[in-house]
Amino acid sequence: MKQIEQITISSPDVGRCNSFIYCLYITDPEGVVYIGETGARNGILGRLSNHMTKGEGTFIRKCYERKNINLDEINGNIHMIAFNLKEYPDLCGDVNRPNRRALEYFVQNKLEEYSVAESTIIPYDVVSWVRIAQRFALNENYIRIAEEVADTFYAKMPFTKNLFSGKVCL
Amino acid sequence: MYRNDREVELPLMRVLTGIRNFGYTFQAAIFDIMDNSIVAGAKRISVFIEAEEVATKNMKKIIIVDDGCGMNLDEMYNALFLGSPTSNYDDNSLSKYGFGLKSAGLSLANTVAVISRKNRNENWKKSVISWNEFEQMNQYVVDEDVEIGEEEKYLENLGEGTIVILEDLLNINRINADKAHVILKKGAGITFHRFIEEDKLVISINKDEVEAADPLFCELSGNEFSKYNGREPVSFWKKDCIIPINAEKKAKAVVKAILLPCPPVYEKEGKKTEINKKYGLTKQNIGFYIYRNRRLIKQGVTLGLITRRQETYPVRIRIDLDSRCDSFINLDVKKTELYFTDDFLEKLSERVMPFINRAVELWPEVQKKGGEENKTVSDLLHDRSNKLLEKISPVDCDPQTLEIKQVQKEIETKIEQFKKEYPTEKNIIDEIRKRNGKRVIAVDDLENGMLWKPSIGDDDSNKVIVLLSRAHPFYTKIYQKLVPGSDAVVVLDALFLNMAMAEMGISSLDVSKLAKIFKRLRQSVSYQLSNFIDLKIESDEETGVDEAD
Repeated sequence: MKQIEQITISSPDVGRCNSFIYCLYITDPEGVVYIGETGARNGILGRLSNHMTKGEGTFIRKCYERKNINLDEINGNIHMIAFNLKEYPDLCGDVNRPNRRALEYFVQNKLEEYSVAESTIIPYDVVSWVRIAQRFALNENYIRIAEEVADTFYAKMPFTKNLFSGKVCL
Repeated sequence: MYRNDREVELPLMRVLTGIRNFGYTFQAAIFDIMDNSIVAGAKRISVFIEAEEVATKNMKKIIIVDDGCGMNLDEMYNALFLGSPTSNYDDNSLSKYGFGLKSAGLSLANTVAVISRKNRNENWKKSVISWNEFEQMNQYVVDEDVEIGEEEKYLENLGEGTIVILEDLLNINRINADKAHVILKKGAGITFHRFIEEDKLVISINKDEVEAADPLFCELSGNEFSKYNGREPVSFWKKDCIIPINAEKKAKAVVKAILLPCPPVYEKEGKKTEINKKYGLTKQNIGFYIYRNRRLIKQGVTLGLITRRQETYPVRIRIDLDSRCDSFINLDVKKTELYFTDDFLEKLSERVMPFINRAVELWPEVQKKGGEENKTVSDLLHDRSNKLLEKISPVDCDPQTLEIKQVQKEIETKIEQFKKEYPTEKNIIDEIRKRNGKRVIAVDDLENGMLWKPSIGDDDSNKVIVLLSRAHPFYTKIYQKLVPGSDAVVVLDALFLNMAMAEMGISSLDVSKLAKIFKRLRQSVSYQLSNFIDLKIESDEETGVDEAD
C-alpha cells in the first residue's frame, strides 16, 4: 500500500524565502521544543527539510543527543511554527544573521523559562542551542521582540492546554 | 539472593561515628541547628557560647535558644531520633534528611540536650542524647523528661520555643570562645541574611545582634547596567533570569547577576581601600552564591565559569533554588555542598557568560573614564584624535596623473546630493549635534551592522566626518581595548576619517552612482570583519546546517 504523506501550510508566506524565527516541536514520546532561525535563501521549508535529514538534521540530532529519542520513536506529528521577520529589516537577510541569532537566543531563553511556568501543564524541554555575540546581550529591542515571538509560540503549542490566558505565570 | 546467615544488625557505633564525621565545620554545625529554629517559625534566635574559666577561654558549652513553635515530648523524641520523619517538612523547609540536629550536634559535642514547650501553659521538658550512653548500652537511646538544671536561666522571658544545649565538646571544637563569637557572627550574617532582611529574624551571639550581610548588595543596585560608572552596584538583567533544572518537577534556578563598584574609580578621593572593604572585593568572594530556600549554601564559588582575577572582583551571581531542585543538585546532609548537572551548567554558562565577559571589559573602561562623569568612554577615546584631525580636508589623488586635488569645495557644491545619498537617521543627527565640530563620532549603531559611514558635520563648514558604530565587534573588541587618546586610537581614527573623506571626494564625481558602490564596499568589509572577530563565539554547530541552505 502506498504511504500517504501530508503537509499543511497556513499561508503562502510559508513558501516564500523570507527570514524567519521558527519553533519545531513534538509532544510524544515527550515534549521537545527546538528554536531556530533562517535567512532568505530557502525559507522555512528548506530549513525544515534540513532538520529532517536523518543523521545530519539538527532537530533530529538534538532529539537523540539530549533526549535519547530516535526519529522512528517520534509518535504523531512534528510541528513547525514560524514567525515572519519581514517587518523587521534589521533582522532580515544574510548580513543581519548575528542579529537574528540574538533574537533566537532570547526566544529560546523565554521558552525555557516558560517550561517551568505554573501555566505549563505538559512538561517540555528546549533542546536547541545558540550563543550570541557579547554586544547583543542587553539589546532591549530584541528582548522585547523575543517576548512577542515566544508568547506567540507558547500560545500556539499544546503544552498549556486551555490554561493559557495570554499571561505566563512563572 | 538474600542470605539468612548474614549479620542483620547494623554496627551502631560505627554508623554513629560515620554520622558525626559527615565533615561539619564548627559554624556549619551551628547553622544547621539554627535551620531547625527557622523551620519552627522562630523570630529570634540567640546563641550563647560559654567559655572555660581558664586562660585559654576555650568554648565549654554552646546553647541555641529560639522562640519558635516548640515541641512536646513525642516531637522532641522524633527530633532526637535518627532520620526524623519527612512528613514534618514543608515545601520550603530548610530541613531535608532528618539528621541535622543529631549529626551536627554530635559532630561538636558528646551530649546534645533539648528543652522545649509548645505553649506557656505547659512545663518545659528536657530530653538528652549522649555519646557515652550509646557506647555503654550499644544502643541509640533518648533519655526523656530529664530534670532541668542550670539551663533554667535561658528560659526566662521565653514563652515557648526550644533550647539546644551542646555539652562536653569534642577537643577539636574547643576553640577560643571570642574567636568562635566572631566566626559565628560573620557567618550568620551572610548565611541567614535573607531571613534577617525579609522576615525580620533577629539573631544574636552572646547578646550581640547579627547584621544582615547581602553579598550582592541588591538594595543598592538600582541603576541600569548600561549606566555602570564603577561607583554603585548594578544588576545585569532587569528581571531575574530563570533557568530550568527539571521541567517535569518545575524545578528551576532563579539567577541574579550584580556588578559591584570598581575601587580604582575612588582612588582620587582616597576611598579605594574603604570601598574594597565595604564590598568585600577579594579573590575568594568572587563568583556564585547559591541559596536553597533563601538560605546560603555555597559562597564565592566559580563553578568553572569565572577566573579569579582583578577584573572579576566585582562579579557576584546569586542562584536561588527551592526544595523542588533537591533531587537534581545532590545536596549533602550538612547543607554545604551541592552539585549541578552538566546540562544545567551549560545553560547557566550561556546565560551568565555575556555578563562575566562584559564585566571584564568594564573594569578597565570605568578606570579610563576616571572622574570625568559627563563624558562617555567613547568621547574620551577619540578626544585626542578629534583635536589632531580637526583641520584635515578631503583630497582626490589620481593614480594616473598623480595629481592631488582638494575636493572640499566640490563636496559643498553637491551637498544636497550627498545628503540624499548618505541619509542619516534622526538619533544619529542628535549625536552629531551633541558633538558639533568633532570629526570622529562613535554612535550606538549603524544600519545593517555597518562599522563606519561618512557623513556631513552639523556645523556650517560642511566638513566630512566619520561615524563609527559602537555595536560593531571591531569597536567593542578592538577600539575599546585601547588606551584613550593613544597613538593607536589616533591612527585608527585617521584611517577611518581618511577613508570617509576619500569616499566622499571620489563620489563627488558622480554621487548617485559611486555612493552605492562605496556603500557596498563598506557593507562587505563590515560584514567580513564582524564575522572574523566573532569567530570564536560563532562556533555553534547549527551554523553549518544553515549555511548549506
